[in-house]
Amino acid sequence: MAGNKIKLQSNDGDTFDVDVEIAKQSATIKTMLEDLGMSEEDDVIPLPNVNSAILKKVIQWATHHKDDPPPPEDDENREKNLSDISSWDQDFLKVDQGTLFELILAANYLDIKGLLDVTCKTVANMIKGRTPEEIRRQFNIKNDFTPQEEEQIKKENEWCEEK
Amino acid sequence: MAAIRTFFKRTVGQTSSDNNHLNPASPADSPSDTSSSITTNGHVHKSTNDSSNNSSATGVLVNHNDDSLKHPLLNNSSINRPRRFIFGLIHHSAKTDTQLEQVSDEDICLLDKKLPKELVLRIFSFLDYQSLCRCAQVSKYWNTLALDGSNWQSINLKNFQRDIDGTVLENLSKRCGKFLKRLNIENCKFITDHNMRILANNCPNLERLIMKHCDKLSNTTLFYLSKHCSYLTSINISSCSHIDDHGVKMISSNCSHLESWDISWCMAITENGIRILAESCSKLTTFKAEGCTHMTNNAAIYLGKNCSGLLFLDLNRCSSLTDDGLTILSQHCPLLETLIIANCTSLTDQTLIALGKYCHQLK
Repeated sequence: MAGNKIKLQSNDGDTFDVDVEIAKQSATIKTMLEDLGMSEEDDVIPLPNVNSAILKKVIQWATHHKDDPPPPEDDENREKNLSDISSWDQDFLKVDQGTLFELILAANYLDIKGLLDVTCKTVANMIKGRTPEEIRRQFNIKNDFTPQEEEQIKKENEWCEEK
Repeated sequence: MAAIRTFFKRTVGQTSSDNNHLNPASPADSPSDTSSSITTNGHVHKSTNDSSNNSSATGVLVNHNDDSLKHPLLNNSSINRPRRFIFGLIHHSAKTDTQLEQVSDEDICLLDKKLPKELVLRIFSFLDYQSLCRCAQVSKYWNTLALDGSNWQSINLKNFQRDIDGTVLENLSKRCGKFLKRLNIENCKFITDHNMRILANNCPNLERLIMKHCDKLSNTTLFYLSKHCSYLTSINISSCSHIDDHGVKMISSNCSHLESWDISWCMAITENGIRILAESCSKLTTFKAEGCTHMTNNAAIYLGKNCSGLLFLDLNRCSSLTDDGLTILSQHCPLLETLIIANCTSLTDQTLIALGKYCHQLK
């Protein structure tokens, strides 16, 4: 099996040769190959929701993580651990927000849980520890509360702040 | 996908350029800078294309291949995002027009615009309560998302703050309401029966509760839990020294789904309390009674006879137990996988022989 390649086609029409085992980190592609009986040699898998730049990043990530153990299922009691992002992933995700969000969309569409988790955690890290105003600035969000509403909501959420 | 569409539409669609809203992001905010520049460039190019784009400005963005639509992005050197990606996404997002129309003239927030609600909630699922409460103050949309029930199903105050005030728990219970399924308040020493009354009242779907070392809690808490939280499957009252047989009886008789009990170091619970527990909770799979001096032979026999599905049994330091009790228990609990009988000083080889004979699942 080793060395088998498939072709992935981005929505810009570019095709990428990828090891089957690497591509199968995407549950979406895995299903296509296994359930739909697509033959690996001839067929090109079109990915209409992913552009070349993002697909390239995704393949880069999947290649680096090809020997990872499968990520654990979503556990209801899972720890909210935001500090376990590897330094390789941290470097890999030093991108602008637009790219980061597109990676999240692609990871979701391709169903690559490891990539989805690490990208979502990266955004969560951009939120954690910041004040509401800092969060607004971070993501360019407009405060659409009236001063009265803001006061009220601040009061409602005061209980979670350290005393 | 839909988000991109909004973004794109807004880029070409803001006809009467509203410069007040084009606040450049602060220099420290480099990622936001990108979005601002997109807007700006969009406007610049848009002005040449206004006439052909009036239809999108008024609302319905048609899936046409109008070249004029491409130009604002195509010529924008600050974006490395190939234009067909945008179009691919546009072609794949047929819904949410009504939702998009509600977007007014505020600045572009890429996160809100690009990511669907489900993915923002996934991001939020990694946040602690404090961060969620701060998110709730960011904007109306974020308020809705941060207060979404899916964020509030499981609360663990053990790692949050041990000196937590009881009113915090009350507020939390109001916020979680019927969504709360798992609560851990281990070591939250200031929490009172009154706080727990409010919690039980607000959170009827509670399934798993750890209230270990909550010294102030008494039978009263168990009364309100038994009254409101009938879905409880697991309860840990270890080291709650005020709780006695009466409290155990109330919970056991009203919460028929209980599968897991931890009464370790509850010195006020007697043999009789354990009998009632065993008789009421026939689904019991996990029972922990470390250090319970009242965990007698009789209590062990009640457990064995009523709870034959036991998988995990912790009888560490139950010094009253002898071979007679454990032999009968082992006869009735063939499924037992884990048994802890360390520091049970009266036990001899006879118990081990019985276990070897009857409990083949022991690990």
